[in-house]
Amino acid sequence: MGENNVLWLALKGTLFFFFLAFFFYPLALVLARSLSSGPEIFALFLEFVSSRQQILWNSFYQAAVSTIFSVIVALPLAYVVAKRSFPGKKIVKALSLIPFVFPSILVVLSFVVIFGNNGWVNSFLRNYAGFSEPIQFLYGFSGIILAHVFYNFPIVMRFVSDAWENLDVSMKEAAKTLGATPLNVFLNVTLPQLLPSILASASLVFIFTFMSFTIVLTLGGIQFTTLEVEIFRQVSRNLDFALSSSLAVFQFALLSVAAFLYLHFSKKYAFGERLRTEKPIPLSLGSLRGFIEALVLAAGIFFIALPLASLFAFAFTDPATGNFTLKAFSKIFSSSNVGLFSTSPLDSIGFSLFLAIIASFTATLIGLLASLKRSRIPFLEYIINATLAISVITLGFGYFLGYGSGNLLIIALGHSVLAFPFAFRIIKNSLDKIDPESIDAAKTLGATDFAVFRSVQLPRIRGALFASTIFSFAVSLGELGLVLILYDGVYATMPVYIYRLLTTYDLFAATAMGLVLVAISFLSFYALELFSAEAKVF
Amino acid sequence: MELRLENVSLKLGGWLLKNFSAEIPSGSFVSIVGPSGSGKTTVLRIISGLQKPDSGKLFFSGKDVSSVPPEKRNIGFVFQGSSLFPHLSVFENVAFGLKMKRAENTGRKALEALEIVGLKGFEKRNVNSLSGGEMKRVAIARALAFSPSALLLDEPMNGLDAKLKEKMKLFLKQLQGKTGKTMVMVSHDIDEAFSLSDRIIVMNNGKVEQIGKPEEIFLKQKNSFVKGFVSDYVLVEAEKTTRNGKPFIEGKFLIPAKNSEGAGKGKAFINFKKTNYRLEE
Repeated sequence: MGENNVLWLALKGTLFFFFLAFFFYPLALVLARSLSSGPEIFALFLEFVSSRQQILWNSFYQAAVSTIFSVIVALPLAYVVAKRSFPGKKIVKALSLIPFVFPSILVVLSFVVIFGNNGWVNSFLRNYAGFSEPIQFLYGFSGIILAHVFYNFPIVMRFVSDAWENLDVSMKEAAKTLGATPLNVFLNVTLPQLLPSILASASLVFIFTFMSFTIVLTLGGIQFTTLEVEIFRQVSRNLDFALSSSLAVFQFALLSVAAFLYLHFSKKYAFGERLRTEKPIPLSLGSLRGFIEALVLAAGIFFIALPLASLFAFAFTDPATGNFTLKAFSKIFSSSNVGLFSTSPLDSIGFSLFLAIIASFTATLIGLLASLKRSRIPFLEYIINATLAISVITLGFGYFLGYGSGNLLIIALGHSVLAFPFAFRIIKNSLDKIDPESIDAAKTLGATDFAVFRSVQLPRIRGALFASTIFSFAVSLGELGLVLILYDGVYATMPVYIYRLLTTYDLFAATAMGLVLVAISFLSFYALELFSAEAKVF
Repeated sequence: MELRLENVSLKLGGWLLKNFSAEIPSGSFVSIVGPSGSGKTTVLRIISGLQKPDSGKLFFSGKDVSSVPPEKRNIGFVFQGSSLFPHLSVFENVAFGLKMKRAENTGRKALEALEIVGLKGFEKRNVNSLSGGEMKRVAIARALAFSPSALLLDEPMNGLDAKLKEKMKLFLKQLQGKTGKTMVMVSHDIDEAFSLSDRIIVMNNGKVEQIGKPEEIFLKQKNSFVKGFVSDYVLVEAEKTTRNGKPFIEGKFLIPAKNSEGAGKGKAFINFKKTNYRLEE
């Protein structure tokens, strides 16, 4: 018992130290930096707000519009997913993970391939519709909205369809016996019950799009900037730490409100599991209604699949002849390409893998320690809630102030902080499924807390630990913001490499590199599927 | 092993236990009965060490064990739900305690325990493939295998159908005969307690209302709560006898009628659950 107590205490200490060093300390530095300039900073801040209020407005406006469109796109799909059964339903539901695992730089890349000035749409218009000028659609507000909607509507779809599936059917039946028409039932019974899930997911999407970095940085250019991108520019280009820290604190305060709303609504959205629910009926194309439903589903799948498909098509097609080719891959894997960015593509893959391996193992270990009763620390809920309102750039800025740049290990640990909330939820959900009586039973049978962990809990959360590792791996692999702020121009990971290729308009090589990134993610998720582990992230 | 609880109190939100004192003699079968929420299970959790009381002491054979952690108490606990480890086979479940305590002859002892509960041949079965009654018996075997000093049973008849319940009663009675272990059973059903126990503890709101032999509980209630608790029952004194070479129990009884319609002369019928009797030595 004595030894075990020391062990648990050491684990608790590890967890505490991790959050102290890689969460509280860097964020405290940002806060301290913003306060250290004294009253002047208010003047500076006010000047910024009055002279560049467009930036604030942009942040709000694009986030609100992205959120509204995400909800509009998601609702019909949520209905079909919740109320109809069809082959591949599980896969469609799993797509809700896209915003977390599909690298945002690849979303941008695929949208450039499709909608860019030389993209498919514009080539088509030029060649077949006689347009002489390309439609400038992608770079700026409209492109950002499109990318954000693609990226976030699956979240709303998942939240709402889960709520819809779990609605208690007896209320609906009661309303019908009381004479309510189907429309009345929907407006007065169904919709009010769905509202918390809609509002919860909408506030989440608002937060995500407000602090969206990669998409705004690449598609917004200089004309369209948001707060998050501006903080990044102030830190990395202007080295104006006073202004950037005050902007970061300001952004945190704003997002805290949205995070509070999300937490408020998601509590209401929690539903019991033993309700009498309606069974989904098979999707049938026989009626007009069924046909429309199928159309909605097909459109949703098309929208989600399009970017990935475009990357495939583009990377394997010779731009000159239109034939199948592997040139793009030979281009990124040939050593002749090294000179371009002072980093070879293979090095870049190596950096990414190094980060992802360290980050995924650390996040899973920390997630596990945070989930176990004996090693968890008191204020974890606050940390997890706070991560909602803390942007990648803010965290990266804190690391920059605390640990400087150019340290690959620090970046990896930063990625593990970003992946921690997911790792924690996956592991905690799995641990909670274990019958507490069986843990008590093990104790009365002579098992110490450590033995309980080893022989009762561990065997039953193996799948979750694996899922957490894979998920964190994917989060790290696709992350761009933290790396950009900390890599010191040296450790160009795959997303950085793609970003550079994108900014130099080498789309051909960029898509090839993007596919390598997708392939690594896909392989790890395939491995996860093999072990049939379930990843419950929300 | 003799168990003794002395002024045990526990407050979690409300009072779960208030100055609870009881003595459980070595080798006896004691039942704790009372309405749900009266603190019955809490007593078992405190004896096993899973729950630490706020105040009060717990003695095993006169030794204060209040600060001994559950894994060192050597108490078998049969939980109310299926607390079997779903990732382990029947045999591995039963052998778990022996493994944790690094006992010798683990295999033999586990098989013996399975034999006691009548599940020999089930070793390799997956616990999820068992019926409710079988699961319960595996849980009992698991709690017995490491030769605990006492066995705690939390509503062991819960979730079993009427037939299985009778079987389980008989089994528990025989089990105590075979092992001679101190056994403490929690039940909300005074019937179960009556036929099995040497002694019954009636609890309400975390307090002991009465401790006594089963017949005392039915004949000499100490207070109105216990009176109310057993008011549906009539205890009849009876004699063992033999008719046509078969064992019988014969008794005469008087039952108060519900109202004045019972007065006067005429025929009436009373039905019994014939299984619910206990025999004195």
